[in-house]
Amino acid sequence: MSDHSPEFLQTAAKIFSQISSSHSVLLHLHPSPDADSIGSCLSLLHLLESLEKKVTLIRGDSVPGTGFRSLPGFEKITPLTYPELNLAQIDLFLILDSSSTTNISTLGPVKFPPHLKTVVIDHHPTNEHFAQTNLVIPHYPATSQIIYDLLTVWGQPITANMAVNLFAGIYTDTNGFRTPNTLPSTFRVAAALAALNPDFPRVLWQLENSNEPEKIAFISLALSSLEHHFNGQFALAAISSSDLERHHIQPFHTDIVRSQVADILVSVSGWEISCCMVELEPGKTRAIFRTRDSVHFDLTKIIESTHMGGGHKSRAGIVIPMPIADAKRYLLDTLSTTYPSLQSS
Amino acid sequence: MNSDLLVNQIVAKLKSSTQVVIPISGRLDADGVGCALIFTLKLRELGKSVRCICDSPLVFPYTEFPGANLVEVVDIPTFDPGTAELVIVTDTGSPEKLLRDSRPAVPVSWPRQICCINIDHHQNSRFGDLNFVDESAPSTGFLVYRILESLGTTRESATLLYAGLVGDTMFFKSNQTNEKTFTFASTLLSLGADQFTARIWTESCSQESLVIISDLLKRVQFNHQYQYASLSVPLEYCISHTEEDLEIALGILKDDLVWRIREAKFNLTLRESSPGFVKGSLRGNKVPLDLRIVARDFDGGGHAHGCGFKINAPLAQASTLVSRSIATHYSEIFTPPTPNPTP
Repeated sequence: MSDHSPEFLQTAAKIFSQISSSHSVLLHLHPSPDADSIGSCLSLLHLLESLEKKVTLIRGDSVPGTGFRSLPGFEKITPLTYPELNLAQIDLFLILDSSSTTNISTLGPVKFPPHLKTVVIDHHPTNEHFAQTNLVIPHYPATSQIIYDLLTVWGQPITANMAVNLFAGIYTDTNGFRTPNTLPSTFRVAAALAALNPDFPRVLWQLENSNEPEKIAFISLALSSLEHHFNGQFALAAISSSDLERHHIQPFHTDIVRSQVADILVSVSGWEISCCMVELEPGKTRAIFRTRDSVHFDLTKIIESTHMGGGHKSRAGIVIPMPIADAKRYLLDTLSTTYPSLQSS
Repeated sequence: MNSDLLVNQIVAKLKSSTQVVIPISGRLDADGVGCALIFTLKLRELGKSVRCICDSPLVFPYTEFPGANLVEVVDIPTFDPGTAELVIVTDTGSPEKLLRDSRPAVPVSWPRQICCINIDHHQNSRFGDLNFVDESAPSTGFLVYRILESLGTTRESATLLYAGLVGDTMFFKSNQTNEKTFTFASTLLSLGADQFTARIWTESCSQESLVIISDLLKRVQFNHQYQYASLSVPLEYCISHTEEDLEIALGILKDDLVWRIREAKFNLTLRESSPGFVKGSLRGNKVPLDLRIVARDFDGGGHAHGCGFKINAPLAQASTLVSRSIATHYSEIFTPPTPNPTP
């Protein structure tokens, strides 16, 4: 007997019916793609190809990091953004791991022509349900785990290549099985995927072992810039674009390691919220958040109050269109209004 | 021996013994400390007289483990087990590894009439009377759980086992992680293991540890010929920080940050913890390379992907010795093939 709700089974059947009746299917990577975006798309790409569909998987706004090259099928990603696409020949858009149209592209308006069927499959609680069919399950730790369940319900075989892509998505979106939404079921799925492709540690190694020396220099720089606010409950590492330039660190070197810095900071007892803030270019500052206590400091509230990003209760990120000094002030104001308990502590 | 039969024998021995000594492995980690405390708590619950002993005082996070208050700090080589009938040693490759890391090796033994149960997943000298050793197991806790299935598992013990599992597999990315590892993790969560507490135990650090990480990252060097990253920590740096802060910082550096350097096939950490005494560790897991062949040159051991050793020499000399050992063992692996001469 299935563990899934009737709603899940109904939506799953509807999505598979739309796939079956389509000829040409579009997939995309969200901006600054992570392994959940790439892994879930690549696993579906393998499925769709086995069903003899014409599949277009576009790179989207960002160039994926070199570490993802080990994911099977990575070479099939087309270097196009959404605004560059001719959608006339595409009849179905499977939109994975994207909570709003800005996760499809920020380079231009995202419009869906009338003939295009749209399906969102996502696990972000901030999802705006913007497609015709929306399968959004916020308690799932990764979109890849939703895809695993869909494949199971659809009765489709999961190949070794599909398995390792899904594994990578689940592994990275749970921060290596560390996030509170890692459940017994997550490990059961991981066990099944590990059985289908026991070579997953090699792929994880490739994913995590793509650091250039500049990334290590960035971690050192970020840890040296530590500030504390709200009686030590908020730890902030803030790096300006001129700091990066002075240390010969390019903005792309800070990809992924920004999150690592936030992870390191939040490991300190008493530092309830951490943030790694980097001015990627003058006037554009990216901030990555982590919290030890997502009950009292639910990070989706920052997303709701700023409308500048996306994420989960314990992990989130925003892009603030301000120079770093202004962004810092804005952020501290936002935190004090979003979490009054920080002020009173 | 069939492992089911062995487990049954161990369970029978645990049930029939009344006085038990449980030493904690000298190289403190969540798996070793956790397994020792699980047995301590369980056997006390069964009405046994239990002495849980350690060659050094516990430090954070082990001081937070349930049962940590029961641990006696003793001098292991001269410890008198009295009328104990049973010694349970977990997560320890040989009796000498019950000594604290910073201590030069001396022989460790106990009277022959005392039965020794030895449970481990490292390279192990099979020093016990009952040896439940499986090098392919992801943690010693994985083996201990087989025994607990007959004795009963609590939420506390599930959390300790989970902490040991995530600590020893570096959060599920070591080569010993497989389908069974995830099934075990799922079982532990179903038993109520507290993931958050386990993460605090295995990954929390002090602010001072972050300062140390920031300092030491600047000292990381890269050996291009043999493709490894190395970090040498001199005595004057070690003594200017607490053992606890330094230990945690070095753990994060060698198991995580330095490990991530793309070009490095493995990493070496040398730390002069007292004058003329250096502790070394090797971390790999990226390419099929058995790092123990280097560790063995200095009477060390552990896993193929993560092992340690001690050298009685000043840091500079120890560094030279280890570099030579690496060159000896890995010269064929890392030497690029000579191009064919042009005809």
